[in-house]
Amino acid sequence: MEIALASNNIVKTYGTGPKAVHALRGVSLTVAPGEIFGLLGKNGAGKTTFIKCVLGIVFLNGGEGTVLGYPFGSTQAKERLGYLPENHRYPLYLTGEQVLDYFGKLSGVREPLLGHRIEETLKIVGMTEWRKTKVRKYSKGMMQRLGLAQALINDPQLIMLDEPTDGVDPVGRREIREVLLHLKNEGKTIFLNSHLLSEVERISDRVAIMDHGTIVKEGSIDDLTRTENVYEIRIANLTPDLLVKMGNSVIHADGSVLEIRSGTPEDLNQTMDIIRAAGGIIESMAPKKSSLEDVFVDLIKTSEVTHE
Amino acid sequence: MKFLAIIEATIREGIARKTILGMFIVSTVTIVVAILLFQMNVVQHGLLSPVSAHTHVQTAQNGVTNNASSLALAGMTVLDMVWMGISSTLLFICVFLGVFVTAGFITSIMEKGSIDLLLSKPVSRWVYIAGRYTGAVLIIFAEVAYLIIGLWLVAGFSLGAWSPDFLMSILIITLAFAGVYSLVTLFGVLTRSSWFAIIIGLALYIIGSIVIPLGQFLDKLLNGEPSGGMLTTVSTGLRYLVPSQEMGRAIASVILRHPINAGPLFITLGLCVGYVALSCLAFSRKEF
Repeated sequence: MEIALASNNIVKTYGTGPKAVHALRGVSLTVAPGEIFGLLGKNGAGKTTFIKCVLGIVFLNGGEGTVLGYPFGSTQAKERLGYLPENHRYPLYLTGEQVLDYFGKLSGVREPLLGHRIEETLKIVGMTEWRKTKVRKYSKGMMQRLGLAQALINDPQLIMLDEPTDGVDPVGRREIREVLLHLKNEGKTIFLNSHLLSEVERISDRVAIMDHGTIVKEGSIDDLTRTENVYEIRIANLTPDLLVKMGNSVIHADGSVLEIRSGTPEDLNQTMDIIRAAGGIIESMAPKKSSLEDVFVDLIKTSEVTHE
Repeated sequence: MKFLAIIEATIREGIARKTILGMFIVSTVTIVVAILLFQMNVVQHGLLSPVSAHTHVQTAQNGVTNNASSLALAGMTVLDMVWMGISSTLLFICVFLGVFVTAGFITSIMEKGSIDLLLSKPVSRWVYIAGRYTGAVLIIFAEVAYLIIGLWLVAGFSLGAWSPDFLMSILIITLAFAGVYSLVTLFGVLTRSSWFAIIIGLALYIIGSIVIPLGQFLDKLLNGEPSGGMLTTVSTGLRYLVPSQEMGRAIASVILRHPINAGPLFITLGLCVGYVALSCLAFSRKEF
């Protein structure tokens, strides 16, 4: 199966001379079909510029890329894409249905299919009852849902979303999350741009962290959040005596939960044996994971130091 | 279909901005006033009387007073003169008013939040500019047609005088607007500012309308006849660069049933195509 999105050393600079802003400094990443890919980064990291490069809204200064097998910004690529920009604005005098009709036509969807797609996308985002209401009366959450419907109107294979839950209340966020998971289950590829780490962590298969126009880390959520050789063990009857017997392998103890460092599987088994021999009852054991937020903050700090 | 969708969106925007409604109301009031006036016997009698051979007529062309006797007015009625006056006035109003109410159609698509969305669609960039331009011209065409056909019908039914030549001014006025609007479109794309585009577009139109005839007039005055000197060269060159009020002469010719000099019409048409093509090119190379 072809790669949904591939970029190779993308460079984008705004302006020239000493005032030039280097928005992207050689971004290379790939997105597999059917996955939810999250691009994380602080404001100004270059996330939106990357999407603009993919869509041909700005032009590349270097590198190359393909979307669904077609060059960045090409009409063929756009025919298969759906896009929800950050801070999108629709003509306020149109109803939700008219907005979808307009953008559906621009996307090349013809009647009678367009009518069906409008029905379907409004249903997916839960906006059917607001279809005849003018956009000026919509709340922020409703605007986001309409934006999502607009991005889906041409039944795209790849959906690019720039801060889709920005300004949306917790209930709205959950609804949008559910829609995205529904789309993933339908086989769609989703490219998610966000600085809301918890949102991305919940639904993304893989993420890339961007800072100062470069990708500083890329991988699956599991890979990024796994802490090497550190395990969490929950012991029902943890005593100070047992802690002494385990020696230096214990990094941290909190109530009945121990964090231990174990270099090899043999070391880990030996630690388990010590616990059992001391009468400890093991309730659970799992590799320790950091939160995505921890990983993100650490990486950004390192990146800041590098750029300074 | 995408082109039509953009035209449709432009017309919707015109309706939403009350642009179309405002112009429709003004046109309707004008038609109603014409109905009331044309019911009056004295007006009917006056309008249908022939033009005196010694009447001095102030034509709109070039802002220069011409003697009616030089226009071969034989067989003309006062109504013909009225049609010419109305058309010339409409030409002026439609160009200025039309540019004011439609300049925003170009810049509104480049607003933050809209442009990203539009450019993400599988539509060639030039289609947006061409579609918006066409939509604006169609709106002005419809408004001008409504007013002129309305006045023509009122005159026809009230006076029994059906002058189909008057209807030709619909196309000429629309073409004059299209010429100036092509400049406004170009500056709108380059600067993203409606007001800047309006000011520059209309300023060039006014300069063209003054400088072209003035250069020819001065050349004639200084040299006794068009000499082909610097003044004529500059004014002639400007004719090919900026839209001018030479369209008023075309209207006068049509209504007075004189042979039309198609030159200004083709030049304006060429300016429309040229400036819109430049606008499309500039828009295609612009980053947002």
